[in-house]
Amino acid sequence: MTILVDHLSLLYHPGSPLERVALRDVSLRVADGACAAIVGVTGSGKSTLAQCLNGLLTPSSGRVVVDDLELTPNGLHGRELRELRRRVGLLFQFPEGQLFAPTIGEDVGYGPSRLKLKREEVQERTRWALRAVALPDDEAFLARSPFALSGGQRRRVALAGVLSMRPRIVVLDEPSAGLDAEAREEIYATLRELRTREGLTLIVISHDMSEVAALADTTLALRDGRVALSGPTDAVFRQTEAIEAAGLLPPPLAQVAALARARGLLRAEPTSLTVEALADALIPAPRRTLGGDHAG
Amino acid sequence: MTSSTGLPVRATTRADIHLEHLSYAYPGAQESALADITLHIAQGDYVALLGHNGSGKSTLSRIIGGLTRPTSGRATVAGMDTAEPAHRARMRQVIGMIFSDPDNQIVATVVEDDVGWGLAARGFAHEVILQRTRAALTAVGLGSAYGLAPSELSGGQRQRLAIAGVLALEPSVLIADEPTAMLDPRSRVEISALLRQLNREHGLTVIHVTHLLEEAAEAHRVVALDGGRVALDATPAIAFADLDRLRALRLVIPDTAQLIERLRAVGIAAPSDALAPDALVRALEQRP
Amino acid sequence: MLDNLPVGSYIPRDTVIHGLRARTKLLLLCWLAVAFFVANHKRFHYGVYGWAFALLLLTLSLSGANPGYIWRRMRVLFILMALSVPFILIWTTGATWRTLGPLMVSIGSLTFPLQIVVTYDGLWFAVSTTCIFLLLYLGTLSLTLSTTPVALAEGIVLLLRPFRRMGLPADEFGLMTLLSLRFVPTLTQETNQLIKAQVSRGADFTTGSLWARARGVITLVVPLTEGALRRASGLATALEARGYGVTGEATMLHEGRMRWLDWTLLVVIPLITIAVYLYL
Repeated sequence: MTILVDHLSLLYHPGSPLERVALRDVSLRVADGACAAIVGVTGSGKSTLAQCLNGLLTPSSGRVVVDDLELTPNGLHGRELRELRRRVGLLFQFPEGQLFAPTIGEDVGYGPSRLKLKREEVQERTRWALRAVALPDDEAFLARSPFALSGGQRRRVALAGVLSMRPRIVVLDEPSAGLDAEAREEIYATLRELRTREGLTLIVISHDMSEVAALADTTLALRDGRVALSGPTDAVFRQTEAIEAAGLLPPPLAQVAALARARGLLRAEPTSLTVEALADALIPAPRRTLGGDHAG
Repeated sequence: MTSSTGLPVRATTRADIHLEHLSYAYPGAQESALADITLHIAQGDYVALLGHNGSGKSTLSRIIGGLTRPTSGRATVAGMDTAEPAHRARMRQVIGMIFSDPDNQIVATVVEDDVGWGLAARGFAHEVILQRTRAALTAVGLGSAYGLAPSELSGGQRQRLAIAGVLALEPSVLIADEPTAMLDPRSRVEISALLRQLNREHGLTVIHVTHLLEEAAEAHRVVALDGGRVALDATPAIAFADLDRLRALRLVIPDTAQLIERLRAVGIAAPSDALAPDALVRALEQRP
Repeated sequence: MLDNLPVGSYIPRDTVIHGLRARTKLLLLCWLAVAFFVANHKRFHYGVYGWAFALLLLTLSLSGANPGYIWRRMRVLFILMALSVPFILIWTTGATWRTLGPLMVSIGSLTFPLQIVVTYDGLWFAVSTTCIFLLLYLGTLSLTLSTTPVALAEGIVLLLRPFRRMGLPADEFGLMTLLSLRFVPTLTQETNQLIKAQVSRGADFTTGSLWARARGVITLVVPLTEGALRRASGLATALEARGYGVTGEATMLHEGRMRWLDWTLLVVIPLITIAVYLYL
């Protein structure tokens, strides 16, 4: 499902002395099955934008379009709002902190049960969601307490809790925050699987550019509520000064590429920001084959 | 003798750390979390305690800090046994510890009160508290943060505040248990740099527990743990020369290290410990 | 939804009242509270209440509070009192002052006479209760306006210290208060985010039956409690590492030594109150 953000602006407390512009004329289009990243520092408006996508916040001007549903400054109510929240799932930062039920099955099944579905349907969705996040779906696991799991596993249960509502679009706020390197790689793998196997559209909110590099095809950088950069992730990462101006740190390989470019060490532009491509671009021509000529 | 910040230039107490045949098993556990660790760390050393999740590095750091008692063996700091209750007060002053969650280390409603809290709890005089608070806040770069509430600080600033709270007690050793785990990339770099600076400018022994090679690269010495044992004890340059060995220790190899590995494979002399982008590019520039 | 709740109403300023020790203000407030209830027994004697009003209004103006600010904060209380006065007047027993009625009241097909009796006690009770509530509110307002929460906590600790011999953990109370104050904004933010997360999953806290809403609240209470316990555990470790509990007598960071003005007020104000009670 495609999601479109059309010239969205949002003011907090309009008309009062506390009035603050959170978002200014932001536009974004995420194609079906794509993964887009929205990056920025704290206060750049990225969390505000994320909350507009599922109707937690209403824009002051502009709109959010999800298929045939439109969120305008008039807001959405009742059935339409529930439908938007069914289509767009939102996973907050450190989501393992929202687990509440005595069993994993109940927690993951909470969303579908609120949709007034039959018990078998809820069970089916619960199992599916757990499988989708690479967790067991047997009775024994469903009966366990969510609090008995490790941090990384609890995060997966929280993700399953959002997936069980069968959204077409999932917005994730810093999905790998606080995880160690191994658990990070696992969660990236899970998210990539979700895209390829289930065709979900993903939107990742982050201020970690390495996370973005691992997941997103396109990137939108926010600065003070405005769009500072946007485009394919690789292209955005080449603009290291602009990224730094937005208060962010480019991923290490992008930094190496930029510094090497400035010092004239690059033989050619790296084709992509991967280890292989960058190594290729740094190696002078005669040495490109292993065991070949080592002439200086 | 004090530096420009007001903190002593050299640690007031020489606190060498000696671990002898240290073992630790969780109550009721079959396997040991730590098995027969013998290690010596001299005052002023900057040691990275590297290991994957579950390698025992946090447990080891807590034993050195006196928060956990080993099941067998001994840890001594400045000649005192860390498990000995009689030494506890002194240990808490000589060794400072910071942890991963900055929020769970801040107790006061304003910055200066948090730094002063440890001193107030020990009954120091008001003037001393004010003076040491200023010195500690300046040393971590929060000299102008007076009056701010913790909720007004960023994650990186909160972690710096936690460090200041520890520095106010003028310790000789600073144990940082995965201090950057909850921080954004920019803050991670800042905290690592701060630890290096504290080691260099104030002679503090720094024990930096981490699972990130790029952070361990900043240290003088890398001690890698696996399965509760010391698997590696060398300088970063030597430790990172063989990445396969590190992969076998279940460590994730960062992109820049992989890049260096590739370059070395074709004969380009890239130093194995230059994991920071600017260090790497500088090294590439300077090669013959 | 939940905005950042300001804790107390402390406004930093440099006034005489701000300069007084928290202990002085706490003790005087307690003293006044006792005086109000004692004065309640001397019916139709307004001396103590009048004196207290004058004292507190003077205190508030010296603290730099502006009248508009005080009025806004007292509006709700006034309305509450205005609503409860009729009930106090009607339902207090005693010697009759005035009678209203009998009025003929019809409910459905029943008609019966209703007589409203207002007693002297009821009249006095209405007046004194209103006075006491307003005065206590003004008193606490002037306390929190001019005292930082930390100084307040430390003041309480110092006042409770003499009871340590009886096993009262005064210093621990101080830390508990400090931690509560420290974590209010953090927990507010967490709760905010938690509400949004659960609402995103279809939780409804605003509509539906009372029972349904109560069940919805479980989705908040459990995670917050669990989170709080985790925090407590982490804090305990960090505090231990910083040497908590290592020595006996802690220095106070905000609450300094009592000064001549503190002692003077602690003697003079009770004396005046007693004098007013006896002679007015």
